[in-house]
Amino acid sequence: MSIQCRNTTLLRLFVNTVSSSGIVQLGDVSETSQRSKALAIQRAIANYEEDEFHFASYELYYLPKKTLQPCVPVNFQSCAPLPNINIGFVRAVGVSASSILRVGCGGPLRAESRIKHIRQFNNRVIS
Amino acid sequence: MTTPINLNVTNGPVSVGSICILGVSSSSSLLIGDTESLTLYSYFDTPPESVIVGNLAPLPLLEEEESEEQSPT
Repeated sequence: MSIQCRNTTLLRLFVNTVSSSGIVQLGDVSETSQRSKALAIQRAIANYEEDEFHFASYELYYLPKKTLQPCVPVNFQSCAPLPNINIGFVRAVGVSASSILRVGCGGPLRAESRIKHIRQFNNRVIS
Repeated sequence: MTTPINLNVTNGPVSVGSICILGVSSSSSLLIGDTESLTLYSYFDTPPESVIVGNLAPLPLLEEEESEEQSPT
């Protein structure tokens, strides 16, 4: 696997918020690995019996990661006779939950995000 | 043994005026440039309709307000 990196030119970048293992990368990078778990329990009536504030209590957080099985070997080459990427203006309100905004060339990028939420109100129906 | 596939990519120049994005979230990525490989995982679990997006959670109405609404005097 060999890729020829192109030159990236960005005139203006506006990012309002970068949170929960988000990355704004300006320039080339060799490798990136991010992980974010979250939980966010909101109950109308608290429940103290079950052990519900630990990641280990939920199967979501220890599900095995599925991987692609290599089926056919691929010889990949990329070349760029005119290696310029020109971007005028990038505006992003939020970069969050193990995500990345990158301006430049980069190697293997791994990211994992496992949110949960559990919003539970008592019997009233919220319209 | 399967014969390998030769994949030759020729990239041209790219020019973009402006990119406006509300959010890059949950293991997603906005890449301006070349990338070798990406492995992104995102799990969510709670059903979408129970998610409240906004700064204030919509709290349920109290009984007296509900009764006033049903029988206005």
